[in-house]
Amino acid sequence: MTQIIRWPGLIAFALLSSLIAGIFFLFLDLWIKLGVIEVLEKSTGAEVNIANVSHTLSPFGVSLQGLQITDPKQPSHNQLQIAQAHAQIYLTPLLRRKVIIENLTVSELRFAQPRAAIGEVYRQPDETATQGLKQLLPEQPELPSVDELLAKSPLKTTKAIEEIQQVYRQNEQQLTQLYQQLPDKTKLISYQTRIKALTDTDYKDPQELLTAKKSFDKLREELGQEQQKINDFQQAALTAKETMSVKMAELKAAPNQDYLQLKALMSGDAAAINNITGMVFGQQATLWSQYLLSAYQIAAPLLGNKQAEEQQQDLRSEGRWLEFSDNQALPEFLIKNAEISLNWQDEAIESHWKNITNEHDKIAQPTLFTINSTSSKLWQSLKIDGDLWLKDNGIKAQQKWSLQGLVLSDLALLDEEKLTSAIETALMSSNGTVAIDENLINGSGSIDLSQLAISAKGSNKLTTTIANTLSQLNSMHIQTQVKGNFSAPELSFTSDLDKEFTRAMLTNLTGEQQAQLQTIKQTLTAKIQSPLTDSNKQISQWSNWQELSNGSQNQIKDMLTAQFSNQLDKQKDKLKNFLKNKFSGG
Amino acid sequence: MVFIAKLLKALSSDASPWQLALGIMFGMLVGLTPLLRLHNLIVLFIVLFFRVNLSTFLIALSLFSGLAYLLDPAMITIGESLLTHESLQSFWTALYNSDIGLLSQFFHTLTLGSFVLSVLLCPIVLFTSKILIVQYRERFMAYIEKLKIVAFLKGTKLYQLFKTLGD
Repeated sequence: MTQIIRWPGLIAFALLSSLIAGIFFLFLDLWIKLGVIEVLEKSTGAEVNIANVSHTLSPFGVSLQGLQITDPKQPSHNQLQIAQAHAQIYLTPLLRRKVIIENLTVSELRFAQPRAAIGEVYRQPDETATQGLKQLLPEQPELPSVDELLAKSPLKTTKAIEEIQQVYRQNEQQLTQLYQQLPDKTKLISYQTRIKALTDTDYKDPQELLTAKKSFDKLREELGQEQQKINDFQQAALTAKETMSVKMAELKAAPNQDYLQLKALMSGDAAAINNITGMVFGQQATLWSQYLLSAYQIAAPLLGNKQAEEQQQDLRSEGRWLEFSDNQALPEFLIKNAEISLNWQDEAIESHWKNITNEHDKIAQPTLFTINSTSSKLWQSLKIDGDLWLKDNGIKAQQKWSLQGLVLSDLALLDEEKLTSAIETALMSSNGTVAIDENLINGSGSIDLSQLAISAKGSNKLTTTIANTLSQLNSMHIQTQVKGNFSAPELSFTSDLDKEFTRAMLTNLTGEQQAQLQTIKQTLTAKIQSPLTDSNKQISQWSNWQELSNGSQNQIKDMLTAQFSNQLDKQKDKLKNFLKNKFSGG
Repeated sequence: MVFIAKLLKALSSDASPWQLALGIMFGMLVGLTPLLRLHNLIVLFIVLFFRVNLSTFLIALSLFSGLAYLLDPAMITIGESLLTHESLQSFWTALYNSDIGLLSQFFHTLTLGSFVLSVLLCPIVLFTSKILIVQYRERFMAYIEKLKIVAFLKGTKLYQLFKTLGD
């Protein structure tokens, strides 16, 4: 037996096992740190830092201090950072490579905080079509001069003059041609003479009468043709006069329209004055929206990127871990309860979470979150609640929020070279709902600012006008819309500010500009006088021609009423008398 | 150099061929499978508690650890096919829900594949090693020990150190 057993080996085994266990526990914190960093870096695609890790054995728990997750979109800032987090973890599921946390406590969670050093980005985030402030701020440094405007703006007056002249030329040619075809006085007298000759002649025999009848019919036909010419002319004259009248009205209105257009253009580029709300409040409102949607931001890194992890695991040559159905049907990752304290402007916002996981189908329950804060120096009440369910085809979630009486002070809105603005004081309220389905977010909300005082300063005429308009505001209602992909939602903002700004731009024109505009108006008014006078003359001439053609038409009508039947009746009577005398023996 | 010195020391020691062969077999088992696993702790206990030759164990461990890099893809395939085999699902599920199953980490394709392959190779390695050791001692040992290079190795401090440790 002694030949088989090596008793000192038992001591060696005990020592070796103790050494392995000792090394394991000695470096456990380091391994946890490296493990957490690896998982989060895979999930977020950017550098993750943890200042310190400690653990407790009974119950098994891990504490992280100074966790920083770099924002891959802005590596100089952290996507989120946590001062301290403590998690109570079940040990048995760990052997199945499942992280089941009974309680998670997170304190001093902050978003978008600057980093001490720029973090590394391992995976570029999706490109998003974000509209930067520089895109919104017009590049044109100053308001355009009147000369520039005149050079680049097609004037309606000039166009109206050209059009009326073109209409006149077209109609003048046609009407002159038609008028020249009308029967003149001599021709009409000739017709009258011929009619008189045919109707007054005493025809002796029927042959003569028949020839005269044919001549009379031909004459009537000629008169009919003349009458048609007159009708055609009158119709053309009427149409021409109507068209000219319309064009004259347009011409008369054109100078004033040009004046208004130039005034608007001088006030600023129409495209540039669009979406002033987005330009001025967009940055801050986006930040507010991020806070309101912060529940999802908190959840995103915790939920991880299962698909990416699986893909990565498949590529490894170290084999893969298979999962079989277990009695408890546990997901890979689950935080049963979490208390997360979000820090905003030195105010702690407590949020309560249940069932944070990336496999909701497995636990058949959604992740629930609630923020209900009424005891704050900064606001009267804040309530956010929602749920979240990760499905194979994306996130399904909903959230509603209600924020009342948030005190804002010295809050920078814009700090651009051309325009700086800040809310000095305001009371903000906001309500809204948002829903996510298959990763597509859709929602709307309102932001009401009351007791508003804004300080703003512009560096050119345009931005100075914006600044002045902002300074005059004492309340504001902003309607927000959020839509698009959940990872890169598009936010849009609308309010009455755009209209206010346009009005302000029009009233803020300088005296010199006003004088220039008046000069232009006078010039344009003078410019239309000559075409107007000419057009009036032409219309008068056409009216005269119409009157003359009316006289001719009347004469032709009279001529057409002359009847050759009188001659026939006369010949009939003569024949009747002749026969009567013959048969009566006379 | 270290391996050769160790091997020569072991082969020329008084240890029985079975002790040496068992050392090679267990070294192969630990070398081919992932190190931090429960079965390796058991093997370590066996190697230390029973008179298994430590020199051949360590030599085999080193050699088979290197060989494992080449065999990993094949062992992963074995593990994958076993773990995903339809008829074995109920067995794996039962094992997955047992403490020993969890501690063994069998549901890792490389762990299971390498363990199964090693266990299958154990008798082959054991008997082949024993035969080769016996043959070496009978036929080649006297001749080898006369070689100048071996005489040189035996004269090194390293060999003396192993000899002292072995004694």
